[in-house]
Parts: sequence; C-alpha cells; structure tokens
Amino acid sequence: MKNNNKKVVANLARKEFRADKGRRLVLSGAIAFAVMLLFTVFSFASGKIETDMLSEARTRGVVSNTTLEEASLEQYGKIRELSYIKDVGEHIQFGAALGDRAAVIDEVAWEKIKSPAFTDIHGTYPQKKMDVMLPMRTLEMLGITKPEPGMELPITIEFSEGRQEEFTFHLSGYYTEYIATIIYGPPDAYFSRDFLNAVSSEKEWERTLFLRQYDNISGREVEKKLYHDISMRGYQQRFFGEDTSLEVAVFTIAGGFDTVFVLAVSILLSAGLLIYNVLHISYERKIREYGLLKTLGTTKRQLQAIVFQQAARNVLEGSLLGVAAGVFIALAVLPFLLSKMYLYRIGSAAGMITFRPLLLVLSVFFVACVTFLSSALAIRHTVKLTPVEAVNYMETAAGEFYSGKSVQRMGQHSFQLWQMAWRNVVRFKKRFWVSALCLTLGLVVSLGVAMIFKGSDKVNQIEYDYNDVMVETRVIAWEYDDVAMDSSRKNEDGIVPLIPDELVEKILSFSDIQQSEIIQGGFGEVLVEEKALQIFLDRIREYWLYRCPFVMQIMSDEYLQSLKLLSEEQELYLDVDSVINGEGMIMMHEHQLSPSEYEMSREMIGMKFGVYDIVNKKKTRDMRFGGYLDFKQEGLPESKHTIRFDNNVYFLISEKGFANIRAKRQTFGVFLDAKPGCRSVLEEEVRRLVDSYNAPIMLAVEKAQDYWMRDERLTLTFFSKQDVFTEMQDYIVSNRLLMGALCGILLLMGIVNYINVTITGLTVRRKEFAVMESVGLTGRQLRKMLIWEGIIYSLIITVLTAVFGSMVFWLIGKYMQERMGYFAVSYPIAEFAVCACLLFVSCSLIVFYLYRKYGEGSVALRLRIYAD
Amino acid sequence: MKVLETREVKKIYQTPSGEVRALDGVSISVEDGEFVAIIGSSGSGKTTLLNMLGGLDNPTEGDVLVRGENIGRLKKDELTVFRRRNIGFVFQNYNLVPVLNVYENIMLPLQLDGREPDGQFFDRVIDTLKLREKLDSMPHMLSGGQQQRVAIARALSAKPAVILADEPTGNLDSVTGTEVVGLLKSSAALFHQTIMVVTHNEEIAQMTDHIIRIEDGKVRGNGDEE
Repeated sequence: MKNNNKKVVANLARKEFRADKGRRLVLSGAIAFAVMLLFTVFSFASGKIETDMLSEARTRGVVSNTTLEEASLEQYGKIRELSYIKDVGEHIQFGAALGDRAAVIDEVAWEKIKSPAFTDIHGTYPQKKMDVMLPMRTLEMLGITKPEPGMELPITIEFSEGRQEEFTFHLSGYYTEYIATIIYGPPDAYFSRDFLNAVSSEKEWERTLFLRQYDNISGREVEKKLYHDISMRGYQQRFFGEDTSLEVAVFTIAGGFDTVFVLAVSILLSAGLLIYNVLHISYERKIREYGLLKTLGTTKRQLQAIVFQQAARNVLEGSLLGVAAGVFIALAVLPFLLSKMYLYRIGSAAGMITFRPLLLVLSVFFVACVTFLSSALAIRHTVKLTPVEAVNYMETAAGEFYSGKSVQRMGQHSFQLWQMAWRNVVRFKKRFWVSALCLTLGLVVSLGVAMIFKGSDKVNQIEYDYNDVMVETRVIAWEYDDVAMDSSRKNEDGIVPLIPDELVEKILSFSDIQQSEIIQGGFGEVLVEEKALQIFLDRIREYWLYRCPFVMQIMSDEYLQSLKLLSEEQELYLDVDSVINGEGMIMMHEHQLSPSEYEMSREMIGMKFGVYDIVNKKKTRDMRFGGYLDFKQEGLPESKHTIRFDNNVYFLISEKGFANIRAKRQTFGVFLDAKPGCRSVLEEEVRRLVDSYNAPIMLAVEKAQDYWMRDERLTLTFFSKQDVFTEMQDYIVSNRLLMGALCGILLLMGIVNYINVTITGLTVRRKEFAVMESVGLTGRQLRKMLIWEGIIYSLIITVLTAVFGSMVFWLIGKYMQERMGYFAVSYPIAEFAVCACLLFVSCSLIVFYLYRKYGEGSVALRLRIYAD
Repeated sequence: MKVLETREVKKIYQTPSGEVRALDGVSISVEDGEFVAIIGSSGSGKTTLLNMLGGLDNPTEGDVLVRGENIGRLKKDELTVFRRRNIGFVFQNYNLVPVLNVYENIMLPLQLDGREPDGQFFDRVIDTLKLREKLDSMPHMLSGGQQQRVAIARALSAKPAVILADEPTGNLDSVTGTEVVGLLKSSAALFHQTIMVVTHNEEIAQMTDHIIRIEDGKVRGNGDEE
C-alpha cells in the first residue's frame, strides 16, 4: 500500500500554521523585521561607502589608487599579469592643451579607471586621428556651453619638449569632471592614438600606469609587492601606492575592515538571535503537542518535517513582508528625506541609497537559514524526549529554577506580587539567560554602532583637522626672491616679513583665544650639486641652475623627541640627534623616494652641506644631513606645516640649528582655537584684522605701475573652521540622517526583540493566567504582576546593558581613538536612556494590550482552549 | 440552608452547524455542608454546569445564586473577588501555579484577598491532607495524587461557600482516585464544607451524599429521587 505520510505531515504542518494566529504573527513578524533590518542596514551602509568612494574618485578624477610614472611597455605588460592587480590602464601625456593635460589613454584606462569618475559623458573617446574629447569645464572656458559632437575646435598644443602647434580637431565627446585641481592638477584633454603617433615621438611621452589593486591590499602592501615583482627602470622610478577608495571609505565610517566585520557579525548575530529566541520560546509550548504526536506514532523525521514546513511558511510570509517594508524604506522613505540635500561631486544625497537586490536576496537567505537552523535546534530537544516526558514537559520545566529548601516562602501576611513576578521572570533559567543576553547584545550592538558613528562624524574630523581660525602666508620658497624685491616692505632685519610680528601680536591679543600655535622658520638655498642631498635634488636639478631655494620649519624639541622615538621604533634612516643638537636638518618629501633611493640615502646621513642666505646668497654655515622623512610616514607625530608640494625642498630644523645658521625668522602661519562659545566672535575679529592687512596690499597691486609691484602673494589667507562646516553642511546633514536612520533601525531591533520575546513569553502563559484568575487573581492584580515582570525584566536588561555596554564602549573608544585621531569618544548615554525608557514603556503597553486580548472570553473557555 | 441554587440556567453555543444547547433550563439547589456529585456521560453538560456555578462562565439565560448572591449580575473583577471568597476549585489537571511551592499555592487565594490565614484551620487542613512534609516542595516535585491534595487544600484554605471539583480523579489511578474522593468526603464532613464533584464515574458518585444526574443539558434526576 502506498504510504501517504507526506500528505499527512503537510496537512498537519498547514493546520498548525493556520491554527495559531498569534504565534504565526509573532514568528512571521520576527522574520519580516529581521529581513527588513538586514536589508536596510546593509543597504544604508553600502550606500554610504559607495557614496564616499565615488566622492573620492571624483575628487581625484580617477578610480585607481596606485600609479607608476615613466613606465615602460615591458612593465605595462608584466603588471597586467599580476594576480593582485584588477586593472591597469595606460596614460600618455605628451603636452598641454587649453590648460589641460594633453593625453592619450587606452581602453582599460578609459572604461575602468577614468570614466567611472566622470559624469554626463557625451559622445565617444577619440577614435579618428583628429578627434578630441574635452572636459565641460574647458569647453565653458572657451565659451561653449552647449557643445555638439563633431564641432570643429582649433586647439594649440604645447608639446612636452617645448614646441607649440595649432591643429583643428573635431569634438568626439565631452565629459563633466570634479577634480580638485589644486591638489591633483588639471583634467585631461583626450586625443587619439593616431594623432599621438603622428605628431610626437615616444621620447616625448610621459607614460603613467594607473593600477587598481584588489580592495584587501593596502597602499603599502601593493607597493611592496610591486617592487618585488616588477623590475624598475632606474633607482628614481617608483610606485605610488595608496589605499583603495573602499578601504578609505570603510576606515572613515568605522575605522577599518575588521571593525566593519565585527559590526556586521554582531548585527547578523542580533538578527539571528531575535529569530532563535522567538522560535525557541514558541516551540517550548508546542512540546506537549509534539509529545502527543509522538505517542500517536509520529517519527522523529516526520516531526522535523512538520516543523520545517511550518518554518518555510513563516519564512515565506515574513520574507514577503520584510522585503516590502525594506524596499519601502530604502526606496521611498529615505530618498524622500535625502532628496532636498545636494552633495558636491555626487548630486542629490538621495543617490546615497540605491536598491540592491542582491542584498535583499542575501538578507532573505540568511534569515531563512537562521529560521530553519533555529527550528532544528528547538525541535532537537523535543525529539529527544520520550512521549511521556514531552506530555509532562511544562510541569517539569516550570519549576526548574526553584527546588527544595532553597525556596523562601513569600510573606505570610502580605502577598507580594513583585515576588511572584520575579519568579516568573527567572522561572526558565536557560530561556531567561538566552533572552536577556540576546536583548543585551542587541542593545549593546546598537548603542556601540551609534557611538562609532557619532565618534567618527565628519564634524569631529573637521574639529580635529582644523583650528577655529587659520591665518597663513601664500609665499613659497622660490617665490620669496620676487616678493623680497619690494624694499619698502623690508623690516629692520632686512627681510620682507610674510606675517609681520605686529600683526601676530595683534592677533594673539584677542581675549577669545584659548589656544594658539604659530609655525615659524625661514628660507635658504643649497647648491644643486650638493652631494649630501643628491638623491632628492637630482629630481629638480633641471629647474635650478646653481642653487635651489628651500623652506625650513623650526620644530619644537618635544616634536623632535617624538620623532626620535618613532625613528628608533621603526628603524628609520634618520639622525634626529644632530637636528636636536643644532647641527643637522631633516629633509621632508611627499612619499617620493623609491625604496632604492631611500636605501641609498643611508650613506648620505651625517654628510655636510652648505646653507646659503636666500637674500644675500652668502653661505651661512655647513649643516649635517639628517636623512629623508616621508610626510606620509605612518605614526609621524602630528604637526602643522606651511605650504608643501612635490619637488619642494622642505627641511625640519631645531630652534638651536636655526640660530646656528643665522637665518631670518619668518612666521608662516598662526592657528587659533577659541574659548568655548567664542568661535564666531574670534573668527570675525581675526577676519577683520586680516582683511585690513590685505586691503592696502591689494590696493597697491591695483595701482602699481611696475610689474614686480603687482604681487598679491603677500596677502594672507584667512580660513576658518566654520568655512569648512559651511562647505560640508549638506554632506554632514545627509550623512547624519543616514547614520541616524541606521542607528535608529538597530536600536529598534533591540526594542522589537524585547517586545517579541515578551509577547511570546506571555502568549505561552495564557492558560496560567486563566488558572490564576480561577483561584481569585483579579485582572488588576494580574496586570500589576505582569507590569512588575516587565519592570524587573527591563531593569535586568538595562543593568546588563549598562555593565556589559560600559566595557564594550570603553573598548570601542580606546580602539577607535588609536585608529582615528579625530574619533570623539562620547558614551551613548542619551540613546541608552531612550532605550531604557522605551523598554519600560513597552513593557507596560504590551501588558495592557495582551491582557485585553487574552482576557477576552470566560475563564472556563480560556482554561479549555489554551494549551498548557 | 441553600448554598447554591440555579434557576432555569441555559447555555447555548452558536456553532457553524447550528445552535448547541449545552444546558437547557437547569434548576438545582445544594444545601450547606452537602457532598454532591454531578454525574453524566461525556458531553452531557456537567462541566458546563460546574463552570456556571463557579462563575467561570456566564449562562445565556437563567440565574446562578451562591449564598443568595446572583453572580450573573457581578462585574468581571467583582466576580473574581466573589469567586476567591466563596468558591474553591479542584481541577482534573490540578492547575497549581508552577512557580509557587505547596504552602504558597495553598495560601494563594487568601493572600490574593489580603486575608490573614487561620493557623489552626490551616494546620488541620494540611494534616488531614497529609501535606505537612511537602510544604516547601514545588509542584513538579509531587506525584499526581499529591498535587491534587494540594489543589484540595488550596480550595479549602479560603473556607469557600462551595468547592467545585471537575473530574478530580481523571488523571489519577483508581487507588489514588478513591483516596482523593475519600479526602474530599472527609473534608466535607470535617470542615462542614459544601463540595460538588463532577464525574462520570458511578462508583465515585456513590460515595457522595447527593447525586444530580444530567443528560443532554437537562437534569434527569437527583439523589433525592433515587
């Protein structure tokens, strides 16, 4: 006879699923909430990361992070074969056109590396010989606001070797870029390969390779690997490796991949525990029923099949609800809230949120797995019980916490409802601890995330990176000769002061200043042939005939001691002692030396070189070379610097050394922090002062007859923290909104978990309430007892969260501050208070709601219909 | 003196297949100190009648009077208070509160009412029911018979007007069942306690003073007539 038990099992599963609406609602609700939570949280987080990555790429005008300049075709070929390099594109610059770089790039460079950083790309990359593709910014400069592909454009090209020639091109396309030109230079004007071959020889080409490494490889690591795998053309050639945009974005949000991993696991764990908890509690009440089924001959496999089929129905129902809610929030609610904000280089802030179906699928998959796993775990206990044990389960389990003599009788003369409430709360020891830990974990994770987001907020970064008010010179070393020509501005020392002492004194006299920092130093010259400095000066030899100007910054002894410590720890090739003793100078560079050059520099340390006065050109004295120090050196003590850029000779010197070379002291910058609440006042005071200082210079520039008098470089730049805030306002607000929503959802998860557990717990005790009522417990007393239970339970969670959270938050603060200097440790006390209040409020509301619901119908009816 | 009285009590349930008359004009009365059995086959309406008598359910029509008070007119919480003062229950499946020990379970109705326990009376009850050694035990540590004895003690503790016992021996073996009915009978005599037992067991019914026979929701006869 054909065995039709599959049909019976399916029927049982279906009937059970339909019969208990309350349980079904709670389970499907938990699943829906988990799906919605995971989808929205991970959508927000990835949206935020992608937005930051895009912003970074657009700022740089390129999505790659590693470059190799002056690359050979052989190197290009070899790099393409490397497993840790995703893409490598070729960029050939052969001159300048319309103020842009005249460049030719290959397909990979255009498709994978350049174009993703641009928007509004019209037309195509130049294919025909006389095609050109220009940035919109350049076309607008030419007065073309509505360019038409195919239009003719006469363009003069300044070739790298110096010649100029005019050609007529056809516009094949144009694009919009957002490059921060002050840092990354001008954008590219693209030409065809045929044109390049026709008009220039390979000798004139500056071939740069743009490399995209995989995201798990840091800039330093990729440099190390590349130096190992690729032969360099000469000791000067070097790779410039930087962390990927993803790594930078992840770091900005949470301090690194490891933190993000821990957070992601915690969120998944919290969501998983939410489902496990609800399933565990609801299945306990089914144990008797399953015991009965076992008595009737249901096998272990059949029982599991019933449970899994029910779980599948819950997953289906819950997932559909969760998907709908998640999509609604991600596609309707947040975009609506963000749509009014505009992010520079990104467009509408709503772009931060995009629909990611994969995340939705993964969320549903994860929740489904957890549901089936939790069901399997929950039923495992039941299938192990004998039918008799299963049928008597509740009676046995109910009192597991109390036994024998340990029981203290409740007051004989005054019945204490809170005592009974306490016993009810802790009656199932295991369930109690699982629930309490799950809820605590959920709340701690949510509060921890809130703390991380608050601490790493852009505002904190700005607060940390910038002083309230900054006044700086615009003059750089090789411009000093020009500005010093105005003899009317010379002081008694015979120099033109960049920021006069009187002005500094006036600035420092403001009473609203809490803290000030002044960077000082001077200018000098060195012979370009100087052997001690040969490695760096070789790079700039072509610009200078005999002597090269330099800037030196006077560093405090405290800074130099920290540098010495760093040098010892990291075994840097530095002689800090000679600097401290006033005998030496350390040269800074922008990560420009190749490993070979750095290795070679070791031999130069201690060598003497002559320092010359920048004005009278006379040698002042010999100093010792203290080694090269990378501005990007990890762990470098923090300090402010004057204007710095590639190929600028920049020395660090001590106060003693500065006195020894008898250089004239200049003030490069004044950095001020205001007393609390005085920021805007100080800003206004200093701004007015700087404006009044700049005004006569600007007037003189306007009236000057002689060219050398028309120099506005002596004006000072004024910059305030508020300026940065204003510029970043939309980013900050939209970022906070997004992060706030994320934290809100996580906090909600903790609360919903609590509500779910409480509802499930109360649902399984419906019969017990009817029994209590039958022996005389009034509705008022029952409500009071349940509220006591809620208070005790939420108090326990609150205390556990406070204790466990304090430890976790302390660790987060310590760890994040080590990672991010700007991380502001602020314990999420307000959020915690809100959670605690919500716990207390929800415990009361749930009791009132459920009491009304479960109190419906006669006691006799409830005694009959509610299972034990 | 009449402790319990019903007047033309009807209980009608509406079901998809039509009206079901669980009780159809039941009028009975029970005197103070009587030990009464309500007997009938399964589905005859005996448990429904007991629920009406105990105020656990409301009749569709008719009145239930306990010590002269028409309990159908009481509000929900008033009825609960009335119940804990005037009616004790003994259920087939004991229904002890799992988180309370034996002593606390017995004291529960009194304590819920804020009343001082009568020490002497309490001692007599627990000695009669042989529970002195088990006062600190939790329900799950007791056998079925012991749990039912606790349930009887709980019902007696508040000195109610009537104790209603619904199939009190249903979950017990015959020896223990007989013992429990014996205890109910002796309690009725010893404490002059009115007790009504619902049962389908003829032997148990024969141990009571008065039998009310119920069939198809109607009283078909009582012990006076037999």
